[in-house]
Amino acid sequence: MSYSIEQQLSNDFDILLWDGIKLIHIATAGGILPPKLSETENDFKQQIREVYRYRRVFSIIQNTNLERGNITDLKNYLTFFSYMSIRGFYSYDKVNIDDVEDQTYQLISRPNYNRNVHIVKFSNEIQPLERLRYPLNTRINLIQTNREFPGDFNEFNLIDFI
Amino acid sequence: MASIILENEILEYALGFQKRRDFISMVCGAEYQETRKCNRSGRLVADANFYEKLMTKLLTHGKIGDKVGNTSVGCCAEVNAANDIYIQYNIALNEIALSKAYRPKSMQIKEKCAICKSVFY
Repeated sequence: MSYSIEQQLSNDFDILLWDGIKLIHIATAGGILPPKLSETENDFKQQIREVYRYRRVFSIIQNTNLERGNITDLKNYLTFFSYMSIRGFYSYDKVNIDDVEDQTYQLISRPNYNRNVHIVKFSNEIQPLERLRYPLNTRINLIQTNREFPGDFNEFNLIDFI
Repeated sequence: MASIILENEILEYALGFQKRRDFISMVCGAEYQETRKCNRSGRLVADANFYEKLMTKLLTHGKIGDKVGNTSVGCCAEVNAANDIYIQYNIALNEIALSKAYRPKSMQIKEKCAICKSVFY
């Protein structure tokens, strides 16, 4: 499976990544994806449904200092990103939703500590395993990033990390 | 300018996607007189089912589905909602009013793209 430009522009995909230290979720807001993400075999919509089944076990830290003129309700804006973080994901959003080419992203919500994940690598898939009380569902495939994602709330260019 | 009724309807429509966690990129509403329609982004309308005046205008920007600027031609939520109106009324393209466009995941308001501004205003 790969994602056409029309699919990328029409959907607000939730993509799951692994940077070697933390579990990452990015919301694409209908933006153009870097080739590494658009040409993946992962079914993003199926993958995120697996995450919905995770236990909500993490306290979170939210980025409430957002300079976006288009937010109608900050609490509503933060809801989904918080939803991902209480499941152990660092959750990032596309900053400029009016420019599909812009690849600026920003951390919106994070767990207060990193989920302790052991990664199993297959041919071109990375699957998380965890021997905890609330294990990760191993049916998700994480896409490996090239670099560790920022853990602070500053904006960054996704291309530099994918 | 869209009515308050349409603005409320599109908010409810967007929240419906949010509750279902069906995260398409945008939703928008269109109205003409007492007829109101809400729709989502995506290539939802077959070429043969486009209102002729709308299709003609869209084709001046590029082929349906092609990326032009910040959008795919004919795939905006505005186009899909407006087409639902046009198939009931034979009216000029600028006779409809459009609501704000929302991103259901975050309920952010999105600006109209250049093509929609050209077609509907």
